[in-house]
Amino acid sequence: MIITILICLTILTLVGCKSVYLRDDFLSSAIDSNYYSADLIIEGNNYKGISLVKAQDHEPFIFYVAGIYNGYINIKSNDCNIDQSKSYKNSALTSFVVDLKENDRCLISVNVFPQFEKEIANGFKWKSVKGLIAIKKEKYKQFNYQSYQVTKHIHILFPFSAEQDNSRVFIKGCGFKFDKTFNKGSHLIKISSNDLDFNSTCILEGFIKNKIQDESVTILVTNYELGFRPLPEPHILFKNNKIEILADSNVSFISLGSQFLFSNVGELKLEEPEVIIRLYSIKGRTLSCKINKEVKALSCFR
Amino acid sequence: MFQINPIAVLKDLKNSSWSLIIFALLIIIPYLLYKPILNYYLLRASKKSELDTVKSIEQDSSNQSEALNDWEKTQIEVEKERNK
Repeated sequence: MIITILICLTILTLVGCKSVYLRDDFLSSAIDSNYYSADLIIEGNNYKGISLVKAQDHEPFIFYVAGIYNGYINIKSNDCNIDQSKSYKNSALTSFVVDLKENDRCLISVNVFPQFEKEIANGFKWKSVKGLIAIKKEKYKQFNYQSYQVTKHIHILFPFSAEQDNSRVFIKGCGFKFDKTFNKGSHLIKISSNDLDFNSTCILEGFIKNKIQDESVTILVTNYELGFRPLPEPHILFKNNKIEILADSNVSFISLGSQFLFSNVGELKLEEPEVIIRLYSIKGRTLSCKINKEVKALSCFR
Repeated sequence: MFQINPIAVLKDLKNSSWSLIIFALLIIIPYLLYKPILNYYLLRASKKSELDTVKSIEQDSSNQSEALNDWEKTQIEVEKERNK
């Protein structure tokens, strides 16, 4: 009898230990919470989810989107007549070229659709990862662009410098208005997300009045659901030219350049002095971290 | 002295083989059933997820048109205020 039970337990263990690639994420998904988490690379800068950029005069706008495993990326803007799809492999950065033509401003939606083989997907459907790019043709030489993803009960800290005493700062949009004068120096304006009245995406416009030259202010704000939680930072152990990574248990896929892991734990090679490691859960919760090999430092952006 | 009772051995064997069959069935039946049941629920979840994604993308497009219109209006108002 005991032997029979032992055989049964062994079989059950073997069935339970069957290798699984993608794993479920038990928290709410990024896309359903209106959280933008695609990795955008614009003019050499990395942006997580959203970005507000100045359009170069008479030049097409070029940007890159980081792929997840193999799949395709779609960029779309109904108002600016943009609809492009490109496939990618091995989590490659995919380039897009957009011509704004006569549009002064555009909001471009980015959607990354990773596709996994049936045996890797293990029945799970990966939620797409979205991003948002706001482009503006700026007529003022000096400008201050900021972008924030907010939820209820948090504050936006808008940084600016006044070049002289009694500089007027005027900001308006999203049901909010700010009009105040500041003395010369660096300042922070605190805007409560509860004071902003908008659906999911909103842009505040304004100016900083200076004697010599006015500064234009543009702030892109998106609104995500209160319960959404981005992925926490992973633990990294540096080992010569390698790193050992231990990420959140909901993480299914980790990529570093063309290397990848279908796990939340593993070892990856550091082939360059500075690299970006990207972590993903099947619910589109992501985290990207810059790793500096020389100083053994990790800085993450959600 | 140790003696073997053939009838008792046969009885014991019969009992143990029955219990082995019962235990084997207890494992085989859930093993055979869990895959189709799991697949059914995963497929249902996957279809719902695809629908949710499509809905979310459509919602995003309409939200962005609204945001773009508001942005244009705000910029005109701010420009008026700047030129005061």
